Amino acid sequence: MNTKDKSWKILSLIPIIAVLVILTLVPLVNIFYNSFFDIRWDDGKYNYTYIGLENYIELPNNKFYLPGLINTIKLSIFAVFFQMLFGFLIALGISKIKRGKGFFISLFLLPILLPPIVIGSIWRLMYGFDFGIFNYLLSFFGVFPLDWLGSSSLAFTSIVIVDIWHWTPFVVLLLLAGLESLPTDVYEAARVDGTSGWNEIIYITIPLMIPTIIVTMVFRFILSFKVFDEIYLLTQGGPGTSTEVISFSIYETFFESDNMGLGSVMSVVSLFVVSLLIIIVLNVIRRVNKYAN
Amino acid sequence: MKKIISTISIFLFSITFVGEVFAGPKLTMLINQSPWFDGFRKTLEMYEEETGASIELDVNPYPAMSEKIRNSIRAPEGIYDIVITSTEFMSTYSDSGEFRNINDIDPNYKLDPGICSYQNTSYWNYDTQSYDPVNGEFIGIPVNGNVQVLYYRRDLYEEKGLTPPKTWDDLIANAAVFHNPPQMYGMIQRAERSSVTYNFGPYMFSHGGAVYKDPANGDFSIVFNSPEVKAAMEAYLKVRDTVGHPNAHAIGQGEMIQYLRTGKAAHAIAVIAAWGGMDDPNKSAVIGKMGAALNPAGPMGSASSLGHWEAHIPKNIPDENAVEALDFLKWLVTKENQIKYIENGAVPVRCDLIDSPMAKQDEFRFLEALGQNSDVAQFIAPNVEAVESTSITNLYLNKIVAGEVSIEEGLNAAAEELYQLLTKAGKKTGKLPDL
Repeated sequence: MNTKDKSWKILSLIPIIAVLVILTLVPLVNIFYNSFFDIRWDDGKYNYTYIGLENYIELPNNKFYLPGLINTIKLSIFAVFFQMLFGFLIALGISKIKRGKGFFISLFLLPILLPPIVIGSIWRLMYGFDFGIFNYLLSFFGVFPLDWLGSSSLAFTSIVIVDIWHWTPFVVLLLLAGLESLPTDVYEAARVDGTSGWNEIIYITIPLMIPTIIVTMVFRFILSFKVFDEIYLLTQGGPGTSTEVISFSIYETFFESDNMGLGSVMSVVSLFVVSLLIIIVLNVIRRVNKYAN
Repeated sequence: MKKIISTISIFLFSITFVGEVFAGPKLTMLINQSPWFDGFRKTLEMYEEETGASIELDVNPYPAMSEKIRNSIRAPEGIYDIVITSTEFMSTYSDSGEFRNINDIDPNYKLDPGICSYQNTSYWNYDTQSYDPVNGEFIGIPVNGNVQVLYYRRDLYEEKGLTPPKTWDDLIANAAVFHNPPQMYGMIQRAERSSVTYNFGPYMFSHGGAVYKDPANGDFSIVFNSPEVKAAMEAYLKVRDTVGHPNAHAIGQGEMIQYLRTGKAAHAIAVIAAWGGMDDPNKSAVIGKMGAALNPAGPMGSASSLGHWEAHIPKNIPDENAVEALDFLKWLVTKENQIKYIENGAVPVRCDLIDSPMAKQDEFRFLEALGQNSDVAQFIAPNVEAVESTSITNLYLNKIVAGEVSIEEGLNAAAEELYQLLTKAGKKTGKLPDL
């Protein structure tokens, strides 16, 4: 590579680096800076009072954040697990379809194409205690109406179900792309050797799909921490704090309570926790992969 | 041909020029999408037609209101010439110092005594951080008189020969006659986390309870864990357990209105703004069947909780816009135009309409109950920290109703957190011993 080419490559990267710095790094640094202050609007301007680590020390006592963090982690684990499972099975099924594949892909994509407000309204109606279709169907089996969104023990599961329904198509899409790009000669060779369909999946498809599965899972894991719409539209974090999640706590603190200092701390800690979990997940996957190889 | 083009050009230029000279400034108002909005819009159109003024509405869902107000009033130049605040965040923004004193725009303007006082929420005292009609600044004009009233099925009452309940025990007795779930619930309560405090208000105040001891005089001592509030919560749960919905802690305003309109609720304490759809054939199965009454009384009489809206004129808009904005608000609250307001389906802010002939008409049969409940309506959290304090009371009341904690545990925990919040805010506060 000559010097001119190298300079041009560096030069061409500058715009994207600038965008990254302005839209990502600067807000991050700003939030980190704000987290050490008590910020109040007074006399027509924001007044910053330095309070050191006070916001950080108070955070564990916050009645919404800690339950929200625990719920978010639980939701990520359960929802992503089932999304990967169902997503893989559906993608596998679609990949075997010879005719009408486009129709099925469009059908399965519907949930991610719907606006969140529509999803919230649909599910809120379906979960309704007296008017909902689920309880209506259960009544045919003599089951007493379930308190889908009102029971402290069931509301969280109801949210997980909506999240699985909402985001499984995303997983399907990525895994299907992975499945369709697998080399066909391996399968042909296996068939010549008389490999069964089940063994084909276990010994060929899954090992070959591992990189795509990991990327999809990490992607979904990160995105699942951003869950907000379902909570906001279905339960508002209740009953009690049984469906509280960090994004909802942060939203309430920043925009409802107008507490920028505490909201910043919540954001910084959430970022740290998510990064830590991603590192742990990637390490576990790497070790499992190494062991499997 | 040239002559024709020149004539047309001169004509077009003239009307444009004339329009510029005579038209006042085009105003923008921030308002929320709610059951009373259509009535407001229709009345505004009447004003525009009558005066030639022009006010553009920026209509938003309720949760977006607070942020939009904040962004506009804190900007160097405001987007909105009129903003409206609900009781939930009224005190916070009243204390912001970003609203004009109405008398700086028109030194002679006073609120007509026929307008409901709503515990003096038009006047804010910056020193005591409380509503004060004597030393407070005149910063708001009420535009929506939303309070909670008792909805009941008057057709079923007539059938059974009942009269509207005077006390909570009367309510339970009447509701028991119709309670036959899931076909019909005797009473619907909305105890969802985002709104339980508001719905609990009539129970709490009628039992002599409150969140703060004497906020009007700057005493923000916490009395939320008093025996009176405990008794109110016991009454609330008794209603639920005997004639209410077992799922009350997951019911919000939308569901409550749905139960009323579908004929599945015999009673509910709901905002009067919901009345608009009760007699609408496109929205309701109970046309002409609903009645409204004064909320049932506890040991301290009847009570309601304020949920009204005040209009404010921000400081960061041009003076001529402020004058135009005030002209509209003055027009809106006159008795004559409040009658149009009601006819259009909005919620009036005048208490002197109860005795008008209009109140006797079947179509406007809610007016008497509105006036009665407005007279006894109280402000649950008239403090600057209202958003945070309400999130505390909402959380613990919801937990109590959901059965996650006992009444004592919930009220004590809420009182402790309220005390911490008010202490941190530098308020004169204190708290009661634990229940």
